[in-house]
Amino acid sequence: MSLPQKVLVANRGEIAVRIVATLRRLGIASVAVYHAEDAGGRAVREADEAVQLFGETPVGAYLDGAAIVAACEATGATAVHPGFGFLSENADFAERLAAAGIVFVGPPPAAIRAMGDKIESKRIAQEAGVPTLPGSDGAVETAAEATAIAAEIGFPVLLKASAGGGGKGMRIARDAADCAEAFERASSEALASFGDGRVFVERYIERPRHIEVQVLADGHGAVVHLGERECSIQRRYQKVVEECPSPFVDAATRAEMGRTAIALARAVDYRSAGTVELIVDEQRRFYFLEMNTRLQVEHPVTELVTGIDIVEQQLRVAAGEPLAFDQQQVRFDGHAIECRVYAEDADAGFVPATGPLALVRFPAGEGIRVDHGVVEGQEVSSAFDPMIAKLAVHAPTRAEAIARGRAALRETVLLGTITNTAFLERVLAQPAFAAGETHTGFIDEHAAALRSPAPSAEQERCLAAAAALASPRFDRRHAVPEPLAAIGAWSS
Amino acid sequence: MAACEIALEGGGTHTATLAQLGARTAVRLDGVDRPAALTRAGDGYELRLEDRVERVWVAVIGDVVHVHAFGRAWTLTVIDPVERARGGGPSEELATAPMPGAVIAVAVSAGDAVAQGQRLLVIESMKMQNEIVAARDGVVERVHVEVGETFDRGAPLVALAPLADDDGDGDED
Amino acid sequence: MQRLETHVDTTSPTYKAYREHNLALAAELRETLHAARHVRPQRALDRLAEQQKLTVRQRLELLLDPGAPFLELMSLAANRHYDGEAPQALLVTGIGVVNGREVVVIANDSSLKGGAWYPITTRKIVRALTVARENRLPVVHMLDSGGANLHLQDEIYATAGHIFKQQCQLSAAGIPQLAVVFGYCTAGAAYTPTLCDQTIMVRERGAIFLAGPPLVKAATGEEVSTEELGGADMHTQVSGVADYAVDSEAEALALARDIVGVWARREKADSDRRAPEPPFHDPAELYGIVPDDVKKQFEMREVIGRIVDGSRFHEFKPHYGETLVTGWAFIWGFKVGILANDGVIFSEAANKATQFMQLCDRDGIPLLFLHNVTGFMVGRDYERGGITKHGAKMLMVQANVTVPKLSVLCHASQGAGNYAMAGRTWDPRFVYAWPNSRSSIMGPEQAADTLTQVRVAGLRRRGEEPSPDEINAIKRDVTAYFEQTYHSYYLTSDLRDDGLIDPTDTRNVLGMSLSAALNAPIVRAPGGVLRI
Repeated sequence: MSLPQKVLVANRGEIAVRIVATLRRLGIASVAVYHAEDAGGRAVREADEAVQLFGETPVGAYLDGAAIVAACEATGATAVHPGFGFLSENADFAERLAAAGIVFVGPPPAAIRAMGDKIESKRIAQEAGVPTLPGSDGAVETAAEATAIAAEIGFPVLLKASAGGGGKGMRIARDAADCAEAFERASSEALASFGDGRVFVERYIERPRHIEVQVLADGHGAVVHLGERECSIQRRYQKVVEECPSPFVDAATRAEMGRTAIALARAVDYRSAGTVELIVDEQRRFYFLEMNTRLQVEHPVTELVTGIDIVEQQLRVAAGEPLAFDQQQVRFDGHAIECRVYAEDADAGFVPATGPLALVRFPAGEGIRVDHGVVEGQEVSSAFDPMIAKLAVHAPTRAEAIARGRAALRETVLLGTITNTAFLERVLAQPAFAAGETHTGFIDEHAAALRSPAPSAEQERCLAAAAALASPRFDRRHAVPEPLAAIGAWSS
Repeated sequence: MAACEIALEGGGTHTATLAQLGARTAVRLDGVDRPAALTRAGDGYELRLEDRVERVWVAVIGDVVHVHAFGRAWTLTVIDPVERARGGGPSEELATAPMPGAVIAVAVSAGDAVAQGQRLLVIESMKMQNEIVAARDGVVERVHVEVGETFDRGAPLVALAPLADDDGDGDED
Repeated sequence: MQRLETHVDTTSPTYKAYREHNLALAAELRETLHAARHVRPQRALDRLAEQQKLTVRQRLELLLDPGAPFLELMSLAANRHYDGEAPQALLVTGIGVVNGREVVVIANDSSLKGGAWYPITTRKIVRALTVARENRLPVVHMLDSGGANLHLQDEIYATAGHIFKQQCQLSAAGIPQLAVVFGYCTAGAAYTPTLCDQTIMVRERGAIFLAGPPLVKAATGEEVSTEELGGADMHTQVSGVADYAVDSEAEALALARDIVGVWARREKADSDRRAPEPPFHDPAELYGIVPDDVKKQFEMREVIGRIVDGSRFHEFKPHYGETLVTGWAFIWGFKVGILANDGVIFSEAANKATQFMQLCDRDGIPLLFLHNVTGFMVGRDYERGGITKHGAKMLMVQANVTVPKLSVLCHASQGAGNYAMAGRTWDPRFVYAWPNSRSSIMGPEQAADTLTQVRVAGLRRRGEEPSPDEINAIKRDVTAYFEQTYHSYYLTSDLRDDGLIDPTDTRNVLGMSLSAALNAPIVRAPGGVLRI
């Protein structure tokens, strides 16, 4: 089989732009889809063609599988890359495409389904020999049941929504007294957020690290891993800084993690790119969290370190090609760090910000990769996730990557709304980060050090002067006449 | 420009007066004269303040000036003290008579929701009819006059209910 | 234009002695100015703070453009009068820049005596308004005065009317005036803001009325508050006497800047201008050039070379009437015709000066007079040669030229020489003096000799023979009187010039004065130039 001639990218923003870039490099025509909110966006500009989607909400437009099939038929696209989010882990959508004779650039629907349910996926993982956190075998029904199970596996425990994600419907219980209330809260929140109030219980790891393994499977029996990514720096349960490799993982652990991830992929007859997410304790013991059956947001760090274009591999696998390399040929070179640039106010609890991107200047240069989907002048609206860009840096060592990342963040100019670039720079500047002491509570632990420092008096003067000079209220036509201007600040 | 106040978010407020002197500019910041210049450089600007030279990027949106400097973005607001002093303007709560006259028509009654700019009354004075419109969105609390009634300058005509404080809607999470 | 040669030997003992002398004078001037402007008793400053008032200097800072020059005029007014209780005559005036426009600022200093008017205050305001009128400069009045010092009402009343009359004339001439009322404007002073085009008042502190509450109570029994009687809100909402009410001085001055920014910018008079160039010879050497005694002579070309652009000077008739140097140069890019004394004026020098002034007047070139003159030459031969006739021609032409005239008293400026060189009474646009300068009807020694001879002759007529002691006493008294009244500090205190200036500031002072002067059109005189 050969690569498709035209691929529709069923996504928006930076990831759509990023996929289009690979399509262009491979000589494949691209079709973007967009909601009116994104009409001026970069994805629409970069793609060869663009089809407008309509929906009750902007997000709804990108979830309209029927419209995407129609768009494929209208444009002659023979494959769909779903990116991440939206329809990327929707097995029904994958089947609908297949029914229409369109290739879904992703795993088989069965694998999506198998990994889509937390309880089911944990069961499969256990069968495949992947370590899992001690916990309830399935959903627990009552607070009493939850408390009993918790006592058995030992406190503290985590109660989390079966259908959950993003931290919603999650509660920690430190003792039996806590447990009942935590259960009720997690359950009601899960019901409200996902329409599914099922909750399960598992051991809670103190100072956990979030480390994940990238796998690639070709459907012809070859499965390789592309190493791990450490994604422990999180706020509101969402990753903001990711790196490859993890500063915590040693060679033996890496090999074991890889072996385990491959075993899981095989267990579900995986094909395409996928990510096995693990939770790692302070003794480097790791436990299965979930498998994401799609391209991951933070895939660029793996690409920078391995030199492998994961989107290209997805396209080749979807076209039926076998992987052109084996595990031994996967090379790991240097260190990469990705920072997610969000429109948000880090000093105000990371509340999303909106506003125009009146001035946009991204850094460029050796070892700097910026994935973004924005156009200067566009509005950051509340219609979508407020991620503006992913700034990834690559350098021979972690220390150099940190330095490069800090410099690149300082040079990232996004004016008109509030962004977290300065916050990210402070994260990278923390001695604890440099020391690799990363865990999912890092941002809370270092909250004081991560707050915006007050400007110095001299900085304030510079800023006030710049603002005054730039303000349109300063009418330069009211110039001091010559030679008085040349005489300057003299008085008799 | 007038002597403006410049408020830095996360910082202080400064008074600034500017002058263009040939190709040079001078800023009087908090009473101290400082030679300063903001000139195009590359894809941004170069700010000179006395001996200091900084690379900056600037986006001006009305009176809000966004400045990227020292590796991060800053937000400053330029305030004209004269404008601010006048900002109060006529009361938004109460529409009063701009001149003596008589009421020709009453378009609203107490309890009506009105939108900013919506007609409340028509008055006549000096042989000219004028519309009294709502200064903001709101609910009419009281109509002080009736059709045919005469009034003096400054007399209350229509009062809007005060806006409720917007709080108490916090998220427990 | 050729660069002037210099013959100054900066290593000579004379140079060093002069330099030391003049540096001491410069330091004294600096200190005196500083004291007059800034040194106030703490209780005076506390009182201002209590009233939530800024000092006049702080007000100026908020009004004027940053980085731009301020030519303060008559800074040492009243410094040797009223026992020094009214420094600067409690008024600051000068030419400054507001939103790019040259304006005359007239600002009361209420830190002492409530900013009361003294006779010299009144004359200083009149002079400032004359500067505005002659040079077509807009005026910003910053009003904060308790009114006339009634103990001196006679002298004040003699001139105060000129203030209001000039305000009316400025208006008719199309020269804008703005008043900012920081304090009281009572009685006559109420007319200053009211005669302006626009008036800003500060609430709670500014007031305008013909009579304040106490006087109203005394006159009619009516009890009324200051705000009710003449406050900002009353005048801007009810009477229409003022136009803008603001809450603070800072807001008032911000608004004043805005208003000035809306005024039309006028084109300067058409004159020969070029890019400025600093003097080639170091202006600081002036300190070593000017002698330490007003009787000692020096080379005026050395002074010219340290004031003009590039030290370049095109000398007219260099070999004729050599005690008066004439020629053209540029100062801060403005072309000027310079007349500079190099000693006493002889007939030839007077005639050369007359011809030169006619040339400049015809060509629209402003005139600069650099004084070092003891008068016209006396003696039988000179009277027979018609020295007075030649002097009269010089006076006649100088008085009637239409180009702007500027004078600087560099050293001596005595007798009719001061008249011929456009001294104060000949109404030059601006006249400045160096601290070493002296000006009087004649030199103190000649005066003492003359008066002693007259007295001795008188005594002898009555058959009395004065003792040497009596003769010495007469001489001492006359000399002391002259020493006091011909002194630069005395003269500037009495407003006989627009300010004492450090010699090294001369170039900037003249640059700003020329710039100001060229706001008024130069109307060129018809008629040919006589070779007289």
